[in-house]
Amino acid sequence: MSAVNIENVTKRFGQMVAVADVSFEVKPGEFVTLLGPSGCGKTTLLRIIAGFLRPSEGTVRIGGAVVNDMPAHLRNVGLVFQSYALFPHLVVRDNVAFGLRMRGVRRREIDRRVGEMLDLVQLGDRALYLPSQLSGGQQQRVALARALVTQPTVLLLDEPFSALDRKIGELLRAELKRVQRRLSISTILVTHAQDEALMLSDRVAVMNLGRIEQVGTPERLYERPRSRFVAEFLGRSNLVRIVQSGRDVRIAGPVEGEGVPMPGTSGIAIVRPENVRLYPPDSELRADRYGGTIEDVQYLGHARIVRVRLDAGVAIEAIALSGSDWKPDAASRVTIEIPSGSFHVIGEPTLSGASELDPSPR
Amino acid sequence: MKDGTLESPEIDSKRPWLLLVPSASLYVFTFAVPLIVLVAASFEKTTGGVTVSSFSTDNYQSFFADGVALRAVLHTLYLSFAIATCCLLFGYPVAMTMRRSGGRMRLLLLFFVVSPLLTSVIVRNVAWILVLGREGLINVAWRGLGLTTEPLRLMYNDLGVVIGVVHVYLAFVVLPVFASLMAIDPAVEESAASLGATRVRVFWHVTLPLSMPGVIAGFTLVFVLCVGLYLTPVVMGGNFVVTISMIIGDLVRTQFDMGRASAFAVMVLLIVAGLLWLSRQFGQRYGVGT
Amino acid sequence: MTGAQNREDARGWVTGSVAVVTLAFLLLPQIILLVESFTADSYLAFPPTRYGLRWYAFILSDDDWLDALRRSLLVAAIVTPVTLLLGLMAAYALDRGPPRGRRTIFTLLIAPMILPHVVLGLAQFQVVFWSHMQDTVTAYVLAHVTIALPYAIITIGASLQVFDRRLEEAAQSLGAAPWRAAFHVMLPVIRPGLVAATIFSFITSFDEFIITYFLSTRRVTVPIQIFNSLSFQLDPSIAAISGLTLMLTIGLTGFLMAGGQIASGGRILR
Repeated sequence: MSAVNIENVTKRFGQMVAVADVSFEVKPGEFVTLLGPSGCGKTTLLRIIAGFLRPSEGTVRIGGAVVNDMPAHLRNVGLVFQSYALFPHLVVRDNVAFGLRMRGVRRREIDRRVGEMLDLVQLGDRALYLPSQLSGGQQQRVALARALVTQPTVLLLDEPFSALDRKIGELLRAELKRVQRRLSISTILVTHAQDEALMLSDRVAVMNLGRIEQVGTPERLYERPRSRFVAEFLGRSNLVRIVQSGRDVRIAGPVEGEGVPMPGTSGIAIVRPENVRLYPPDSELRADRYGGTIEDVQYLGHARIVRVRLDAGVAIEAIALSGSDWKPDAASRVTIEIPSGSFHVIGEPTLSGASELDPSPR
Repeated sequence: MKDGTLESPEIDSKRPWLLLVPSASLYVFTFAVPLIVLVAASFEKTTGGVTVSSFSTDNYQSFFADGVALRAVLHTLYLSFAIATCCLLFGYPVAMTMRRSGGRMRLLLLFFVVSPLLTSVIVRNVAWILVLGREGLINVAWRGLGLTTEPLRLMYNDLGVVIGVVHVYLAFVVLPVFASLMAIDPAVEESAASLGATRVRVFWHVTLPLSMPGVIAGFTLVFVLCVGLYLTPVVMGGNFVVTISMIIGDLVRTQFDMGRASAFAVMVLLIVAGLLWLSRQFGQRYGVGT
Repeated sequence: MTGAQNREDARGWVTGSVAVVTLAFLLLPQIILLVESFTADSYLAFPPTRYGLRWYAFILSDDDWLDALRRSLLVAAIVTPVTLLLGLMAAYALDRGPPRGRRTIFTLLIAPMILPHVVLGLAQFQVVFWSHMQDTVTAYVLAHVTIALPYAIITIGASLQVFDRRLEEAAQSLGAAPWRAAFHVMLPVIRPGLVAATIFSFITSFDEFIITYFLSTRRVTVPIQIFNSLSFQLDPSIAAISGLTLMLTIGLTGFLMAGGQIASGGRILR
């Protein structure tokens, strides 16, 4: 039995289709992230699961039961908002106790569970503070405690870190992961931040234009993206037209445009910048090496993003870790190496007999 | 409040409107029906309590005929204009000061401005009698200084009425003006100043035009409220100031001439409607829908 | 440069002093009235030569004043909760209903505010007269609710507009049925608006003159009793009843505001 099961859910607002025929499931204890740009339908989907919107078509199951017609307050879900949505008139303790009070839990039991939960989020000493007296990070921890204390079937998180400073957000992410593992609670996170999704999730569903483009583990999504959208949304990637002959894969040219006619099968593939190796310009030229000119260097501290314009016309980004003696300079010549195995074919013409390069099956 | 994460509502459900039923039914009995009765009565001609005709324009003709009502209307409009203007002249600086001061001070000023609203109109009128009357504070002080033996005539004239009513309605100008002053981004004024405009010019060319929505709203509200002036003119104007409402009151309470009273009341309604229309025309120039 | 500076400083100073004078103008009469109400003289003149509770004792033992006071308090005590309830319902309906038609409904609801009260009073008088409801508390209450309701709708509506509906969603996700979410979360959060509406409703009713004046013959309210005695004779009993009214409304306001401030942990100040 899955914690949440979404089957062919569609949501229309008048003419606009916000969610289009989406299906996925969350297993007990699993952390699933709905990742996508704003307007992709991820928040709509979350609100459908929470019970604030009714699906136009399809079935929503929570804990095995169909909940399409069940009002929000009977669904037993925990909800955390970007804006915290703490009750401003109640102190921290009463905020956390709210759900238990609504369920008619006995006073002594409430005190015990609220105390435990506040200790878990390390706010035991703030029980009598008003939300307005807490920092943003503390408020979001209270919101988390409030959502968890009722032991919901599933925890729903709507962009919970985007209102926080980066540093605080990162700390809170780690804490969320710790708490989620500890309670092994099924969780759905909605976010537009790919690093959040990759760091926290057991599985990620990438959404675009109301549809799920791909579901999979973070590694699978990053290394075997099924579409250009997924590849470009998760991390940096170079998109190139390739030709393949035997086991050798070479860059044929830019995606748009014709490319150099060459023998072999052609297709579109991505290459992650960290798989592009940089060599001095006078290095030995091999089949998997290309000459080019450095166009631009972005300094990130721990590394540099180097954009190289290949002589074939394609721009390729590569990562040069800091700490090596060589410092890439704009306008200087360079040689890059992309091993055949670093190409990942996506979309259109599939390559025959290259099973390793096949798009990952669903 | 409503940012991108909050999706549009499920359906445009009209169900919440059911909650309007109690207010709507109340208004039917206390607002709609009485107004219909009023309009009907304004066309009724009665002599000695007997209805002679159910549709006659005699009552309206009498509004224009003897000149008493017309003079009262003009005087009422004159008073309304004077009062609304005074409210603006004194209220605007208060709103500016409120905008300039911070947190607690602003709250205190706000409380001062609103506090007269917490007092009955008639109580405030009595208070003004104590200040402006023959034996009031000012006259006593005036005599004490030996400046004159003749008491100053500060009430039982237009001046007394204006003072009394400005006191009542000042907040109605300060609040909307303050609201539109607060809506002005200080950066706009600063950039005007950085371009070399003096503070006076910044005020005339930036602040004042941008606060016009509040000015128009406040001025209109006070003006319209003044058209119905009754109590303060009676108490502070004595019998020397006559407003159209006083004439209507007299027709009802002493002459029991419901037909004429109703016709005059309908005329007042039309005047109010005309004023609101005018204010709307003005407002549209400054891009506000009143 | 310094000349221009001086001129501008002077200008700010002028604005400031106009504001100070205006504020004094707003507060002074009430203060004078309050002082005068404690006069022990037998005539109305400021400042009093002797002080005492003489006139308070007088109005609280005079049948006419007591009668009016009781009636005013009774009417206001009914008008206030009724207006609050109707105002809350109407403001909520406008807030949650579809945006189409909202503006028209709002305009209709606040129309009694713009309508001159003489007109409304005359209109209501004719209906009340024919239905033999003159001099009844019911007639007064209906009239007062009608003119107090627009203020209630505006103040409550304003606080609903800034109320974050996600708070209600959070409450619902925590197991509160919609009506419980509204009761436990929305009402406490919009409390300042409700308090303001309460104060305004009470004062509107307690203060209302012209309509009640039309609807009454013998059974009067405090403002009408003051009005009648003003035209009769200007004696300090008027100052005392006015002082009493003033203290009553200020006391009520202070009580409600302090209560709201404590309940919301001083949030009003921020």
